[in-house]
Amino acid sequence: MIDWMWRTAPATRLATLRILVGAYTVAFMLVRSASFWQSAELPAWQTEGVGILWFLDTPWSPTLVHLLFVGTIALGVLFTAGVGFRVTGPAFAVVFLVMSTYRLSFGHVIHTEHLVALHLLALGFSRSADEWSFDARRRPSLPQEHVRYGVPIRAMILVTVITYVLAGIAKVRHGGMDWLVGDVLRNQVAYDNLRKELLGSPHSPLGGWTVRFAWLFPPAAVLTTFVEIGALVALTRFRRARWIWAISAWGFHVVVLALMAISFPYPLSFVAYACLFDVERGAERVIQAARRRTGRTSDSKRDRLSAATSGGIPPING
Amino acid sequence: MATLGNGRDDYGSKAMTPDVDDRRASRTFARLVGLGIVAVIGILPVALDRDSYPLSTYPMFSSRRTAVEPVHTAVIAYPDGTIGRLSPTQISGNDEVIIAAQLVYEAIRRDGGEVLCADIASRLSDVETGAEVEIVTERYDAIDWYEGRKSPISRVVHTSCRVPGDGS
Repeated sequence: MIDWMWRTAPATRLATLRILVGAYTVAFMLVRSASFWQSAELPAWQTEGVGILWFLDTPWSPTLVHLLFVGTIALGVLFTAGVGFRVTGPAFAVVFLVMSTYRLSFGHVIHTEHLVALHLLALGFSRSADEWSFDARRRPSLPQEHVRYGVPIRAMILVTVITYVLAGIAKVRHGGMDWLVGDVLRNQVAYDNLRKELLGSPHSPLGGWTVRFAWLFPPAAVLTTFVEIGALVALTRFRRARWIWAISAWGFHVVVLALMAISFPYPLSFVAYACLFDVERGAERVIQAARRRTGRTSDSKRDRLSAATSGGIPPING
Repeated sequence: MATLGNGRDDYGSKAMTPDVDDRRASRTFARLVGLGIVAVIGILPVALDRDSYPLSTYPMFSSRRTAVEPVHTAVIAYPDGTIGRLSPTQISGNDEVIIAAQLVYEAIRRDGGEVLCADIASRLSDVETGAEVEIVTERYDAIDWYEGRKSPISRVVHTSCRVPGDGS
C-alpha cells in the first residue's frame, strides 16, 4: 500500500485531466462572475482572512480584485490550452487559490471550491501539458508512460477520497448517532430551506415537502455517511467499485441539490471524479471521431506515435 | 504491497517499471507526496479542528441541528404593516445566501446591526415612501413551517432605519 502512489500513467491521461479541470474552472468562474466581482464590495468590517490569506484584516482595492479576477480567467485559458505551462500551470493554480480564498475571507467558508483548488495544485505543479497542449506541438517525440504522470493523478485521487471521508467523519463526530438515526438530517433540510426563504433566496419546494415524511431521513443519513466514508473504495484497483462509488457520490450531490438547493458544481459536473478513470480513452475516441468527420487519417501526432512505438517505447494505450 | 512489475491495474496504470533510471528517487518522491497529502489534507485540519480553505474538516450539515433555530436576516417593513423579504444581494451586496446570513449575524453582534441597516437602506431605491429596513432575529419551528404552521416562535427587531429618498 505504501507504493500506491508510485505508478506510471500516460501523459495523455494527465493532459485530459488538465483540460477538463481547467475548462471547468474557467466556466465556473464565468458563471459565478457576479459573486467573484462583488467580493470587491463586501464591507471592510467583515474582512476575516482564511487559509493563505489568514493575515488579511482589510479588503483589497476593488481595482485589484477585479484585475485579479480577469487575470485568473486569462491564466485559466492558457492553463487549459497548455500555453507556456511551466509558468501558467503553477501560476493559475496559485492565483485561483488566492482569488477563491479572498472571496471566502468575509466571515464564512463555503465548501464548493476546496476540491477543485487542490486538484489544480496537483495539475499545475506537474507536467500535465506534455501532451494535448500548445506547448507539446513543439516536442519531437511522444512521451512514454511515466511515474511523473502517474503521481499527480494518484495525488488527485487521494485528495478526492480524503475530502469525502473527512465529511463523513465530521457527521459522525459532531452529530453522533443522532445524525445517523435521529431527526438531525431532517432538521438540516428544513432549516436550510427555511433560512433561504427568510433571506429571500431560491429554496427547494421539494425539500420542504419531503420533511413532512420523517421516516425518510434516518436511512438517507446512513446512506449519506456510507457514500462519504465509502470513498475509500476509490483507492482500490476495482474499476467497477470506483464507478459505483463515483455515481453514488454524484447522485448524493444531485439529491442535495434537489432537496436543499445547494449546488456543489464540481462533483455535479462529474469532472471531480474524472481522475478515477482512464479518461484519455474517451478523449481519444472524440479526437478520432472528429478526424473521421473531417477526413483526416494522419497527422503529425499520429506520425509521432508511430515513431515512438517503432523506437521500442511502449505505446500510449492507457 | 503494490505490484512492482509491469502489470496494469484497473486504472490502466502500471507499476513503476524496473528499467527507469530514477526508480529509487521517484519511489521515495511518490511516498513523500502520498504521506504529505494524508498529513496535510487529512490529519492536520482534524487535529486543529479548523474549517478553512482549501484545508477543511468539511463540517457542513454535521451539527446537531434542531427544528427551532434562530435566523438572522434583514427585511423591509412597509407602512401598511406588511413585511417583505430582501435578497442576499440586497442585504450583503453578494448573491451567496450564507455570506448574507453571516453578515447579518456579525452585524448584530457588532453594533446591533445599525451600520448594516443604513447600508441596506441606501441600496434600496425602489420601495415606497415610509418603508423601513429591519434587522431581525426570527425563530421558527422549521418542520412546522413546512407543515403549514408559519407563525414565528419569537421575533426580535434589533434595529430599524428608514429608506431614504422619495421611493420613486
